[in-house]
Amino acid sequence: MEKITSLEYNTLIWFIIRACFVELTITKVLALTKQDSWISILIGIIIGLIPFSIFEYIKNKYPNYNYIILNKKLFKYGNIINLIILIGCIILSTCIFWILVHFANSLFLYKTNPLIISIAFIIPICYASTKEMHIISKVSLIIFYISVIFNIMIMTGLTSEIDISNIKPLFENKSKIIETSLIFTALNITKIFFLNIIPKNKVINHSSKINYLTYFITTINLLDIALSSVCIFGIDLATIYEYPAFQILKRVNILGIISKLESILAIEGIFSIFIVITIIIYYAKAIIIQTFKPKEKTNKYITISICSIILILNNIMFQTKEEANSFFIEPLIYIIYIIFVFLPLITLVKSLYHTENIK
Amino acid sequence: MEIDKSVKKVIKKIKERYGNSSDLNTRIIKKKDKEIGILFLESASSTSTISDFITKSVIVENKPLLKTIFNNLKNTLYTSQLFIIDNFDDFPYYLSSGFTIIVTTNSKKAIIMETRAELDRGITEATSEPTLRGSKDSFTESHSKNLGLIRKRIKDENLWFEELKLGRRTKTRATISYIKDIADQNKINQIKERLKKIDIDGILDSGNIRDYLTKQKSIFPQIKSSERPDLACQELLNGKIIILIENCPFILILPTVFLDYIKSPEDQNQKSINITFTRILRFIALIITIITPALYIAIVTYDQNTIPDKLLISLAVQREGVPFPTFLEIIIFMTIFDILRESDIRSPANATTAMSIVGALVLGQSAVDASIVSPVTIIVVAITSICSLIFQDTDFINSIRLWRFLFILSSSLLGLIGMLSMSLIWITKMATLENINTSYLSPISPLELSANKDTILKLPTPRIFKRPKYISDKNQTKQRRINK
Amino acid sequence: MKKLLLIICLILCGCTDYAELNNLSIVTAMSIDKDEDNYKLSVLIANSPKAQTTSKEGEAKTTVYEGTGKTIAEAIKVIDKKSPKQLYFSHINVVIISKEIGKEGFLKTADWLIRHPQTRDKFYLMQVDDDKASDILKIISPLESFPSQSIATLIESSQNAKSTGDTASYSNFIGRVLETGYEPMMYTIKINGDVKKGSKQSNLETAMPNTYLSLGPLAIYKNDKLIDTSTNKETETIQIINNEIKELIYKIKYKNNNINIFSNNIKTNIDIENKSTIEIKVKAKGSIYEIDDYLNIRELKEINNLEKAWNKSIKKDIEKLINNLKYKYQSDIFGFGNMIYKNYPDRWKQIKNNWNEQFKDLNIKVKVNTKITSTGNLTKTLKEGESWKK
Repeated sequence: MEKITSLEYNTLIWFIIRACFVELTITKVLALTKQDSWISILIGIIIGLIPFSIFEYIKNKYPNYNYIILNKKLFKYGNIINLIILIGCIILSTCIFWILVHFANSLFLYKTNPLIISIAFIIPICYASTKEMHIISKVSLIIFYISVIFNIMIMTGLTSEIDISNIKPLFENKSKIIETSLIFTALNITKIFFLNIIPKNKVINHSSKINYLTYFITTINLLDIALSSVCIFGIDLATIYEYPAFQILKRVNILGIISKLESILAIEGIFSIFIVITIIIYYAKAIIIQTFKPKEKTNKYITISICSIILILNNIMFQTKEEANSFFIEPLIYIIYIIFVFLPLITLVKSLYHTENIK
Repeated sequence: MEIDKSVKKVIKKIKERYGNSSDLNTRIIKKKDKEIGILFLESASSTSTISDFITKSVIVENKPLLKTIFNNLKNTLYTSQLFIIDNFDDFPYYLSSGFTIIVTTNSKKAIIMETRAELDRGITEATSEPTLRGSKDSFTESHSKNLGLIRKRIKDENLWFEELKLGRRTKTRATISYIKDIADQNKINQIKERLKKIDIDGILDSGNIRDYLTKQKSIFPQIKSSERPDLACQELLNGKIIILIENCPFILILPTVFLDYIKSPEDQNQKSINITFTRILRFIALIITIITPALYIAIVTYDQNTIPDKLLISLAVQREGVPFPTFLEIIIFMTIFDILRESDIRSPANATTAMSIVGALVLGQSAVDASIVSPVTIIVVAITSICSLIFQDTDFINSIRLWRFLFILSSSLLGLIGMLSMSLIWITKMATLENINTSYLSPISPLELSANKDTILKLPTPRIFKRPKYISDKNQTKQRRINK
Repeated sequence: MKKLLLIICLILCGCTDYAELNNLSIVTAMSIDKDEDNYKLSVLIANSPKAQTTSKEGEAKTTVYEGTGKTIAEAIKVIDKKSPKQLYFSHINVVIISKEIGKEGFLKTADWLIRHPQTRDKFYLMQVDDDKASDILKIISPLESFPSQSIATLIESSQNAKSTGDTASYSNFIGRVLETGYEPMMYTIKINGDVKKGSKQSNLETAMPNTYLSLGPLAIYKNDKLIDTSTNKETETIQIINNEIKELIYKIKYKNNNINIFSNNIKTNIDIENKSTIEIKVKAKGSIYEIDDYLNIRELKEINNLEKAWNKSIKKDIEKLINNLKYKYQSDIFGFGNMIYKNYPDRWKQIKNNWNEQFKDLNIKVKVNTKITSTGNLTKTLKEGESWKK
């Protein structure tokens, strides 16, 4: 594996945290905590520091190994842990993929069969995940430039619409704040787990400080999206929409001339999901390669078969939107916490008692 | 094979080899009991030079200073380029290259002298890459002239030329040129290795060897070719490697990155701030020419909500009565435009007027009047093709055309979403490309800030201190900082 | 041939989102009437080509389709059958509803307009007073090429003032209905002249069009139900308080004079002082626009007095409006309740069930600060007062 630069690594963090926010998290957060959603996201950012620090700690302690190999070295049954993670990968990527397809289906191509849309999306994802990590990170850097341009456009186009008094009254929905921030952490921040596929020494000038900085910049950007959806619509209007963060894009008006850009600006949200699913599939592929050690020629076919599993699961897993939504709240979040937070925590504890050097 | 001691036998053998070709001239001059044979190809060598200097010196200079006639001749011939070979198999190569061979009796060696004929045109203005502000000369078919054009610009002993011969039959000279203490040795070795592996009957143009120098399949050209010596020298000074091929006015520049195509050699000679603006224009043109037709199809047939009210209504009314679906319209007219361009390049200059009338009036105006195509389609096709003509490299324009077609296809299948997934594939493909350890998207991905002083932006030359690292990490400093 | 191409294209596209522009009927305006139980829906289609001339000029004649149904969607279905092309709703500029729908409650009707994937929420929502809503679409406007655009421009540069069309937008209305302690308003539109003459192309041929549209006063709603229509004067005052006025020409009576003051710098702030006091602060700067009698404007004192008169007049207007809102309309269109909810949520919980009564007890202070900065191009009046009389 070739080395990647620190900047590319940080763009991966940016996309991983952003993924699903516009498409799923914001709707859930607004529905549960209304005006106080920004507080719950703020708390979520602080809670999210725990998994983030766990990942950073493991990364710094074992700079030569990625998490999959580390599990094999640290634990007797490392392969089993890895296979559990593999199952988690497939479930999570299917869910995220479903969100992506549904987002495109309800906003861009509402008459089209979701199967066709999912095929259209799985092709670039599959193509990208057959590539090596340094190529995926290069792609993410290029997309990052586009994402930044779109973000600037959105910000300049929306500043005139914001009415800050809409976030009052504060603390109206105190009881659900912690619950919501846990949901936010699960859906947005724990996905950084997948970056432990890149060992520290594969990143040129890897620095935890910069990673934490990126973490805060990205999450504050998300906070800004949530705040502006509340401030522009008022909480009552914001909660009736399925995708409030998309609806605010309809208000984007740059210098009073350029408007009606929502379809093009919404593409920004799809980029981050693309990167995340690509990385998850890459992760799943790495687990299979590490566990079963197949011949190098078959690597391509592993990716293709994972993609087709996701494609098939995506089309049979959820029959209705409500089914999907209820799955995203209850079981999915437990799965995420167990697999992507609890398992690394065990690794962390084990590594504290594990003083001898691994070679 | 050894050279025969008898001059007559040598001449006979050569004649056999050339099948008694009419342009093979031989002459035997007798000096006492010894014979001196002069061989040259009339078509490749300059007869006047041979008769003025070589024959004259052979005939006139007959004072025997040294023991053998061979050594005598070696010292007295009026020529600047003289060397001695002892292998008969080399004869055809030298003869074909325009050398004159002198063989003598009882000598296993032959004297070879350069008497090449001027078979190439002189140095003319660059036609395929014209510039307004910059040197006007261009490479020609003459290999030594080409080397000279570089040499006269960079008077440094570290400018090295390494020569290889390519092609079993053509024996084309290929020169790898680089500045020793700047260029990356690893890259040079890789290039040499790949060139040495070539085993083909003939190489006639630098375009032939391009495919040997890249490993990945790609639509975009990964090696830039140019006929401008000033560009070649700029790139050499940046640490790039130049390959010159005999009989070909186009040189190859390695490694090439994507953004090299929006640069022009004259950029270095103009006000940097204007150049920054021009390059941004070129970059926008690049994006326009790739995605405009696809975006138009996506917006007009899928995401009509993106179009402003009045424009949408006017577009809808204009399309009334047009029989073809929009994407077919676009494809038909893009194809027609490409045919027009192709025929414009091929046809002699006096036919272009007729062509432009047919193109502009018949295909543009009349097609609209006949309701075959809507006016906006013509505008879209026109914008696209004008933007594509900003770039000088034909390979680049053609590869843009292919990707544009893929984008059109995807957007006519699924609108903006189709376009999006195609652009993701495109970005992934571009990120995958690399040649001799240089990523095609350098220096923007992976980002190298100091190298970006001369990519889309162009800083004034006094403020660019370092050479781009992605080309070579050796000897980075380009100029000393001036303390004001 | 065309069908063959279409089939190829369908195979290629494989999905039904594909639509050529000339197969779309672009709806730019919509009107909703209610007639007993049925909705009567009219849509204005903007892209029907002109009958005789070649369609290349980009000009369009408009067509209106009508349909009835128990629900909006049902009526749309009826229209869809009438229209030879697929209806396309994303470019709706204006939706006009009738008085009956306003009285019955608009939310019933509103759902389709916001749920449909094509529609945008930034169109203008208007109400007719006495006319039928569908008639508005039929009027051919002299200056704009199609009616919906003429209505939009009418709002954007309305009669006495250039008000931003924010109040008139649909999302604003829905937002106000949904928000706590806020009541919505809606602009009205009316037809001047004969509908039948106005719907013919001949309406354009005369120099003075027989029939034209004009913007009426604001209709005041409570929840989603129409309460009453305000007067023109009240509308102006509402616009002042909502900061929607960019240019105001204000008439005051002062010493037998009718003086018009022009102001393009009016700012209103509504602040909440405590649980039961709200302060409306108006700051206005203006210049004298017209004086029809003698006034010694060279004297500073006179100008100061004029300022005071203007001040008083605005204050009186606002107080009168507030009074009417409290007692006559009983509707909290400025969102005073919303301010209490946002700043004193506990207090709001106590009073929200009884807000109608509490609104009457709410102490609303009005502070007006006016300044006359210039006297226009003239330094004195044309009439010279006493000297002229001699």
